[in-house]
Amino acid sequence: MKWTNLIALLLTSMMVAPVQADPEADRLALRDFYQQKFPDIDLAEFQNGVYAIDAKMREQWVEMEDFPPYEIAIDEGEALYNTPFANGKSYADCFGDDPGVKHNYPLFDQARGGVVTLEVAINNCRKENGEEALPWLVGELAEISSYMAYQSRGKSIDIKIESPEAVAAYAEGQQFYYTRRGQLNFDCSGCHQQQVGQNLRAERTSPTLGHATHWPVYRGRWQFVGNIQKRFQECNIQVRAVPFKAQSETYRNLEYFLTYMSNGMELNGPGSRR
Amino acid sequence: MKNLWILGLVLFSVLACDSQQKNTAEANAEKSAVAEVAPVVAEVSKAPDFVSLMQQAEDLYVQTETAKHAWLINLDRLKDARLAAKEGDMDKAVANAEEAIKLSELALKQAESEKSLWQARVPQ
Ligand code: HEC
Repeated sequence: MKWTNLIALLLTSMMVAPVQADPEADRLALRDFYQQKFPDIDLAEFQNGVYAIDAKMREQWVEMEDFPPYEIAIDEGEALYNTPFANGKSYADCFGDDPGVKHNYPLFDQARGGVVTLEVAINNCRKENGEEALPWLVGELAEISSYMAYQSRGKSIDIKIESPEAVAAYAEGQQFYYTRRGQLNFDCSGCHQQQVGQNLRAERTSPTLGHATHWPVYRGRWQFVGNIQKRFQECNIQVRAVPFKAQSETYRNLEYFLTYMSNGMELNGPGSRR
Repeated sequence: MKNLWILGLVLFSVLACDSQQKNTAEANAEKSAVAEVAPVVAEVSKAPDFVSLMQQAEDLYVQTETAKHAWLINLDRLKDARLAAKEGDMDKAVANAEEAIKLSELALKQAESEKSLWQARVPQ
C-alpha cells in the first residue's frame, strides 16, 4: 500500500471513529434543553408527562386520579405476586423482601450480556422456578409490575451504566431514539423534543424527560394497564414503521436509554393517561 | 405494464405516420420511429417473470427489516402483490411488487443516511 493511501485510510478511520457515549452528559443536556423550553415548569413535574405542560388536560386527569383506574391492577398484581409457585418459592425469593425495586430497572446484566427490564426479570424469576413466562405487554405481567411500581412510588430512578457493554447498550438505545424511521420519516425526538407540546391530532406530545417514571399505564384508549413497550410499538406505528417485538434487544436498549434520561426522578407509577 | 403503454404509443405514432407519409423527410422519420420500437420490444420480451420479481421484492423487504427500517406500507404492497397473483391479475401483482421494491429502496436509503444524521439531533 502506498503511504498516501495509508494516510487517507487513517484519516477516514479517524473521521468515522464513533464518539464514545457519555450518558450523564446526555442526561444533563436534555434537562437543560427542557428547562430552556419551559422555564416556568419545575422539571420534577415532568413525571406527569403531558399534564405538566397542559393545564386543561391536567384538570381532567386530576379528576380521573380521584378514582385511579389502575387500582384494580395493583390489587390483582399484589395477589399474583404473593401466590407461591408450584415449587413453593415465590417472587420474594427473586426480588427480596421489598417488592419496590422498580427504580433499579432496567439494569445491565453482565452475566446475561444484555439489558434486563423489570418485566424480563419477572419472567426470568418464573422460568427459574419452573413456571411459564407470561405475555409481555398486558395482562398478569402488567398487573404484577403495576404492584411493584406502586410499591416503588417515591423512590428515585437509579439506573447504572457501568461497563463498556452497558454503555454500548445505552448508545444503541440512544441512536434508536434519534433515528428517523417509517414512511413518515420521524424520530422519537421529532415529536417529544423538537415539537414537544404541539398538537398532534387530538393529542399534545410530552417531554422525553419523565417518560419512564410512571409505568405501567392505564390508558383510556386501552381500558387496561400496559407496559411501556406497548407505547413504543404504538409510537413506531404512528410513523408507519413496522414495530419491534416486545422485549426485543432493540426495545430493551431503548428502554435502558430512555429510563436513564429520567435518572434521579421520582417514580409515580402506575399512571393513567388518555 | 409501463413498457406496454410506451410500445402502444410508439406503434400508434408509427401507424399514424405511415398513413400520411409522402416525402423522404417523413420516410426518414418513420425509419427512426421503427428503430425506436425495436429496443422497446426487446425490453418487453425480457420483462422479468413475476416469481423472480416477487423474490426480489421479498428479499429487499427482509433487508429493510435487518436494517431496522421496515415500513408498514411495504407489508401491504407485498400482501396485495401475492393476493393479485393468486387471483391471476398479473398486472396488478407486478405493479404492487414493483411498488414494494421502490419503497424498500427508499427505506434502505433512509437507513443509510440516518446512520450519520441522528447524532445532530442529540441535545448538547
Ligand atoms: C409522530 C409523533 C410521535 C413520534 C415520532 C413518537 N411519539 Fe411517542 N407519543 C406521541 C404522542 C402523541 C403521545 C401521547 C401523548 C403524550 O403523552 O406524549 C406519545 C406518547 C409517548 C409515551 C408515553 C408518555 C407518557 O407520559 O405516558 C412514550 C414513552 C413515548 N411516546 C415514547 C416514544 C418513543 C420511544 C418514540 C420513538 C420510537 C416515540 N415516542 C415517537 C407521539 C409521537
